This record gives sequence, C-alpha cells and structure tokens, in this order.
Amino acid sequence: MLYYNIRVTKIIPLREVAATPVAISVTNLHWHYDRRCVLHGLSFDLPRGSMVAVLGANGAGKTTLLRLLAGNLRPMQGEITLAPDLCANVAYLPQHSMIERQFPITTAEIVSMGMPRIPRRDRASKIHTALEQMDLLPQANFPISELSAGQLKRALLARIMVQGAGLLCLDEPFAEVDEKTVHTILRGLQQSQAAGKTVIVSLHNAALAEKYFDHALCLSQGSAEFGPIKKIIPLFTAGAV
Amino acid sequence: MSAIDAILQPFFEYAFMRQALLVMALLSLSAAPLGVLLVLKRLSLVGDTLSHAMLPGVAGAFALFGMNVLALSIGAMLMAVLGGLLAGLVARKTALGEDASFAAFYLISLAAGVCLMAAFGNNNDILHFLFGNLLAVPDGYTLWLGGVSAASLLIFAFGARGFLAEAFDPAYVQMHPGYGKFYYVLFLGVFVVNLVVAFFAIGTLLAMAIFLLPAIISRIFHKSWQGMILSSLILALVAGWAGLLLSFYANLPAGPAIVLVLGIFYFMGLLSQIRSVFKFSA
Repeated sequence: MLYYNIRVTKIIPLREVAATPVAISVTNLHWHYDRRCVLHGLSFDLPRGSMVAVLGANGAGKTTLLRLLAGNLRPMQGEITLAPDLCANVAYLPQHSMIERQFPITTAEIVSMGMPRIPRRDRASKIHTALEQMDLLPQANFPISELSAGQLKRALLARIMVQGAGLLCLDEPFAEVDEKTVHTILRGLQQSQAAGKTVIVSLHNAALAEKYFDHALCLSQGSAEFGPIKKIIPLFTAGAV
Repeated sequence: MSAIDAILQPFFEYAFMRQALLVMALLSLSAAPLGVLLVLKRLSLVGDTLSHAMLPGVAGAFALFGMNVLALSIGAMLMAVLGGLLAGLVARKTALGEDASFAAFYLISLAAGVCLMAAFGNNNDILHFLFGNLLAVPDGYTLWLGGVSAASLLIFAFGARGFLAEAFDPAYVQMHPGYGKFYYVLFLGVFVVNLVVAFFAIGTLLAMAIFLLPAIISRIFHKSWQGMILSSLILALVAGWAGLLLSFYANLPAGPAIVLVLGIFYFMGLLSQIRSVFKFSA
C-alpha cells in the first residue's frame, strides 16, 4: 500500500505493515517544547476503522500528539504517514475551542458549517441525523448563547461528524461534560466507527476507554505503548507506562 | 414649512443632496454585511488600521498624479494591504501582540499621510482626504460605487456561509479542506476595495464608521446574524438620510454629521440596555 506524508505531497515508498489495513503510521516521532521533551521516538501503526483512546497524565503529550496526527503541527523529527484517502480528510476538535459564546448563530448553523460543499437540499437531512446522534434536536434552532457547555461541545462534535472526514481526532471532548452527555458522545462516535471512520480520542477515564474503545495508546514521559485496549488499560492503571 | 417638507425638500430641490443620499445608500448595501463580519471577527481595530494606512498611499498618489481617482484608489489599496500585512507580521513575529502592533501602524500611517499631504497639498486637501467630500464626489464615482456594491453583495450572497464559518471558528475553517484560507483572503480583499471606495465619500478618518457603527449597534439587539445585517443596513440608511439633513440645516460637513447620527443611535442603544447593566451590578 502507498502512503503519503501528512504535509508533503511526495509519496513515501511502499512499506509492509500489519495484516489489518493501517490508517496512520507513525515512525520515530519527536517533539519538544524548548527543553522539555514531550514525545521521544514514538512509533506505532493505527488500524483503519479502529477507535483509539489516547491515555496519559496531564502534560504527557496527548494534545501535542493529536495535533500532530491531525496535521495541525509538523513533526520536529520522524514521520507521520496517512493512507492516501485520509490525506486532507481529517477532522480535529481541540480541547479548548476559541469560540465566542455570544456569536449570533444557531446550533443547526454550526453543524451546517461542517459541509461547505454540500448543496443546501442535501444538508438538512445530514444536519438532522447528526443532531439526533448528539441528542440535540430540541436545541437545533437555539442561539448558541443559550446552550450549556456540554451542548455546545456536542454541537461542535456534530459539525465534525457531518464533515465526512475519514479520521476524527478529538482532544478531551469530555471535559466540562456530564456523564449522560459523555455516553451520548461516545455512542455517536461508535456510530462513526461503524461507518468505517478511524476515531482517536484523548481522555483520562480508563473505565470509559475500556467500555467504548478497541485500542489504546498510553503516553508517559515521552514514550508510548500502543495495543489492544485489554492489554494497555492494566498498564495505564498500574502506571507502568 | 411642514416637517415633511423639511425632511424631503432638500432632496427634491438639490441634485447634490440626491447624489449624496444615493452614495450613502450604495455604501450601506455592502458596508452592512462587511461591518457585521468585522465586528463578529473582532477586527474593528484591524479595519481602522487599514483605513488609516490608506492615507500615505493617497498622499503619495496625489503628489505624483494630482486628483486622479484611479491613481488615488491604487495608492490607497496598496498601502492598506501593505499596512495590514506589516502590522499582522509584527503582531505574529514579535511580543507586541495584535493590539499594540495595529495601534502603532495606525498612528504612524496617519502622521505620515498628513505630513505628505502638507508637503504636497494644502489644508483643504488634507481635510478632503481625512473627512471625504460626500456632497461633491468625483465624476463617475457613483457608477463605480454601484459596481463595487453589487459585486460585494453577490460575493457575500454566495459565500455567506464560508465567511460566517471563518468568523465563528477560524482555526477549524483553516484545517477544513472545504474552506482553507480562501474565505479569509476573499473577505479582506472585498473589505479593502469597499474601504477605498468609502474613502472618497467619508475620508480615511471616518470611513470605518459606516462599516462598524451600524454593526456595533445591531450587535446590542440581535441574536441572529441575519437580523444584525438587516438592522445594520436600515440603521446606515436612516443615519445617511438624517445626517445629510443635519449637515444641510446646521451647515456641518456631511460625513461627520452622518457618523454623529450613528453615534446618537449607539448611545440610544446603550441606554436601552441600562436595566441589564443595573441587574449585573446588583
């Protein structure tokens, strides 16, 4: 299978990977802020269509890794390669969006922003489905100033879901969100996974990761352990990584 | 003279008043959506800097080509773009930040423009470029303004969703393959062209008022962007008409009179919110 560099258009030579098709392949990835090394020589392959939990303590490098995977940062050293159909097909939800709560638009209008090239007649049904998935139909025409923090987070997620991206990178989407909403979001993400999308989510809750995710990547002190969820969770809870 | 006569007669009687009203109406058509986007994107200071950055360009073109509308427009446009780019670059690459960087460029541009005008023109020319001359716009200006307004409205009608998405969440839009930086660049391009056109009528000092004040006032009242644009347009039209009458009867310069009327609307809007201010302090 051919892989493209995430930013550069040159084709990286054919490389054999695991039997499962790979969505992202990371090789010897490094990143540091001034003198603090955050990611030190990470290498792993994320299976296509998987739901991957990125676990780690505060400051372990979860946000940096997600931004690198989404193409929001360039690797300082090493390579991130995406399957060709995922190039320019990545959606990223930052932990803190720079959004003004008084901005004069409605929930449905936010979702509609996820699909700029889809004709108006096709948009309505997609918006309806995404709002339904995120349990936001009653708030569809509310101005966003009247939404709670959790509802706004779900609206931003719905915008990403209608985008049609093959790879979703979500940075701690459960901060400031109540438990019911967390499960609503996760069920929505599972539906995206069922539709063939690769979903990567950073979080702190091992129980949630075990219930909803099939793979995990545990970050600690610059290194990472990646594998099936059942193998990684015990390492994470024991602080062994 | 009845009140109706007083508010209509100057426009029936004098061609220059009718022309000024038409200019204000055409300006308002494109200024309303652009002003709303500027306010929502929190680019008021950036807009003001671009507006003032035009002055050295206008003065330079005036020194070289005299009162040539095309040369003045090109000079204004080049300096607005250059000033905006430089101020943006300084804001990003130094510790100054956007606020300080744009304020510095805005002040330096104003001083440079006035000095250039003083060197190559006279006091009347300086006043003309600073405050415009709405009652005596250049020949063919109205036609040119009409074309710019119509093109801007068309662009806005087709790109409204993109402009709005970019104003709402620029970081998301820049990563989205369907948007990229296209809407940001297009918006700034349309804005600069409209600013240059507005400069001839209102001047570099007050041109931004026609964009910003109606949008700021409507921001007080509306929770929908459509409502903001519609009320901005109505406010600009009413202020244009009332300001021209004020200028006619009180013998005041037309541009500042219109901005003054907008200022009165602004304070009325603030007064209407006084209850929420007290609620907040209680």
